[in-house]
Amino acid sequence: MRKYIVKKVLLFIPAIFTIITITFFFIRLAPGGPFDKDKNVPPEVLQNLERYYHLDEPLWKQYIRYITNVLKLDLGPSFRKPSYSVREWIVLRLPVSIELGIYALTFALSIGILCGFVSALKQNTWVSSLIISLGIIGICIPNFVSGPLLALFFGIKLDLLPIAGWDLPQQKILPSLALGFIYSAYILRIFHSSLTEVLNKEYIRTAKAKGLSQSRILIVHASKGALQPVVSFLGPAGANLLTGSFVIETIFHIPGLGREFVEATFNRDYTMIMGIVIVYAVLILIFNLTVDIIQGWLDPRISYD
Amino acid sequence: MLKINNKGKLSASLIFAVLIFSFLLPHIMDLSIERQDIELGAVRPSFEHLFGTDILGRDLLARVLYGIKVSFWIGLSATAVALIIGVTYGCISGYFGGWVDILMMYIIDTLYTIPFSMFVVILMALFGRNFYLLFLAIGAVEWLTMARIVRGRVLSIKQQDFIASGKVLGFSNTRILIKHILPNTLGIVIVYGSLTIPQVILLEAFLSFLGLGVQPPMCSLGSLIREGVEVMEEYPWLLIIPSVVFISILFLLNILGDALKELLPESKT
Repeated sequence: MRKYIVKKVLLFIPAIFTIITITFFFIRLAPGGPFDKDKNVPPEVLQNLERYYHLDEPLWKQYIRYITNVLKLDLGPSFRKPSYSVREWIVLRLPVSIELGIYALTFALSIGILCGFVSALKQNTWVSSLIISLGIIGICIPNFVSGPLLALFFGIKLDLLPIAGWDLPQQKILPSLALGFIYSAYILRIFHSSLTEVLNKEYIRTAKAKGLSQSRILIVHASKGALQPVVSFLGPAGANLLTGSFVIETIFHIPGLGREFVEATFNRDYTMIMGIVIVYAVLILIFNLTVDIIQGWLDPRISYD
Repeated sequence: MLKINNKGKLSASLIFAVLIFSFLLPHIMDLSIERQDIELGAVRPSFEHLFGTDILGRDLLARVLYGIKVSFWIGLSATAVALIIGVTYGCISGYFGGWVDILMMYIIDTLYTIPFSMFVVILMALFGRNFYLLFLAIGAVEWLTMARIVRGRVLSIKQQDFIASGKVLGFSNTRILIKHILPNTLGIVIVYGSLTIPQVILLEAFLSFLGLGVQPPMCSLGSLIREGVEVMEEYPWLLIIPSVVFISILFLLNILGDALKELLPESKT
């Protein structure tokens, strides 16, 4: 197990390196520069700016400089926010996004698994068909639709919850629900079908024959096996959660990294884009590794060689 | 192909009806997506304007119908891009096997870990919001799964006797691939292609929502939802109507895709 983790972490390095390289040249290939939007910049000032940010050097020199700096954990100065370095800015914004992601994931898992249990307990009743149909509709409602609709009904029409900001606890409810909503529908569907499948296995029949109660069978015996597909779904869902945060943080005016990323791409803030891409790549790799480890714990048959 | 279940048939006919409407209604009702009436401004849905109008007095029904057309057009063409790349890649990887296969699949696995939607955002923001770039970018993201599935299918086809006899007869690899293997992947390609369409429509709407997709004066369902969000406090129908239409279309496409998936031999176990 430890060997497996070390191997995986060592494989991170070439992956991150590839991502940095691709992104670096990808961004520089694009027409236009970060200072195009500033009107009436005298040529001398522009020249000084470019010299300050080393934009006047040949590309390969800039690339080597950037890689060396990244190794020293220095992500450079922001092009558009001169008083901050990219690292300071990320340290400021990342915790907000992580907090939002954790709330959303917790919400999605608890609702999805709870509904999955209920629908499996009440098989072939109207309750179960209602839950299943809600799940089918749920996976058709992406973040950028559920977010505004939740804001409209609970924020504006019913005036129950605030729809902007990220300071008070009640401001965090709607964005978390909006971000987690579609994943709760996916988890519900996956958990329902895997639970139904597990319930047809022979060891469950044995448990029933021993006279155990329905809920004990579900929670103690069936759920560990049935959770596996849910956990493997979480891997790709982690990456999607990041993309979802671009939208949700923009809609609800949350000062997180997702909104920062969208702004940085619009402003051509090269170093900021690069910095955020690196942070996201590391996050996704760590998340996938965690999912791998949990999967091994749920199913001891998985080997890590 | 005719054994598709009733839910699938129903959703297929509804999708067809929606498409017919989106092409015919604008002509019948003389709708235009650009005609403005600033004095009228935003009005609620009424007999005159079934879906109401936006702040510039443009008819929302016309814009939604246009958005549906754009969404389907991008859905189909980007799926076509994804199909061409994915099928070619999958066929080569599966047919030649050995180290070629190992390398090509390693590349796919690596690409899977990259947060692709971020790259699409960067691509669209930096390289200009070009309509053709849009579905090229989306297609380039969606081909991975297709390549994997086609490769799996090719691996099992190439074990069969008729491929061996083709080789004995001295057919070239290209001929075997194009004439004998490709037609046999068709079923699975159609099914997964139909499952890719809603994914593509979703990604396009996501980009348009961020302002990176379809640019004015054109509109898509994603850009209509974005416009609706900006004014949802005063004119909620501008958000609700495009959202409901968008959800319904995704719903129909997903039901159809699931129904087609049941036709595959793999799922009949």
